[in-house]
Amino acid sequence: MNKKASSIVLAIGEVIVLVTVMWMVIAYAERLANSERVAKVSTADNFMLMINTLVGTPGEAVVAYPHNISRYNMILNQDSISVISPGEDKSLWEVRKFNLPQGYGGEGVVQSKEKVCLEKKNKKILLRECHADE
Amino acid sequence: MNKKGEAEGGAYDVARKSVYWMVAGVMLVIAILIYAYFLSGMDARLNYTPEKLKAETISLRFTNIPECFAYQDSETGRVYPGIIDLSKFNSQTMDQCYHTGEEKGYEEYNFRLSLQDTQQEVMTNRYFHGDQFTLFRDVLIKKGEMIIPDTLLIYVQADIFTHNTVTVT
Repeated sequence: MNKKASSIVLAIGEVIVLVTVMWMVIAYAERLANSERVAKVSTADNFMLMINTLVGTPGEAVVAYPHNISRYNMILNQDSISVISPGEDKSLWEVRKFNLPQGYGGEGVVQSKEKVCLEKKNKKILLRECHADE
Repeated sequence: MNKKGEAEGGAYDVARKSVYWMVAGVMLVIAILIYAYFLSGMDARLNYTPEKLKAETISLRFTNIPECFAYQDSETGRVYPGIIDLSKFNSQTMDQCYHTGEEKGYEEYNFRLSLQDTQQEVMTNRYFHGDQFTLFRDVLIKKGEMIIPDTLLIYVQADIFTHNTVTVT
């Protein structure tokens, strides 16, 4: 190979390597920024905080989650809340445990609802779709 | 330049590029490793919820609801959040109010509640004095017919093994 040809091949090689590395770095950062998991974990954490706050509130109360969470299904039971992307394996559910006082209960299932409310009523924490006026 | 000189110049150029790529390769790998290191904990940092906030929301119940220590007027049924009924300030009420699992309860939040002036204490079932931090709350104490001001100290023990606050021997 003459000098000119080898120089061109090396230059093309450099460009390919740099473009590949840049693409990998940008793709990784973009994936993190748009991470579905981050949103799901944060939704589960927020609901756990809301449930504990409701439990610690005397009397009855309703609180509406201030974000659209229609891309998730949610299950509330006696000791946990699960945030689920439709169709995903159970091992990927975001589950948060909590401890309710004796005599308290938790229940409710919502499937792809835009506005979701938590209600404390007669020692029960209910997960449900919000009514129009909530 | 003659043909021999041209050939030597070409070989020198290729050798120079090879050295350049060896150095650049090492630097590139170092840069990628640093980048990966900074991004590796990104998920956890984006989702971080302060431990104190979690403990604060759980501990609201201690002073606010009658199933825990909040005073409830037996005649009217009215609950007085922020007023602790001293007659209920015991382990039995705590067990009904907040009870962690018998097996893995040490992985959850556990609390020791201490009334600073009244000098009474009560703790949850898996509390092992592995405090991470303390919350302070101004409260009133219902002691018989008296109501006296006090400070409730809430000692918080999160997962004791994660936080290395208790050493297993």
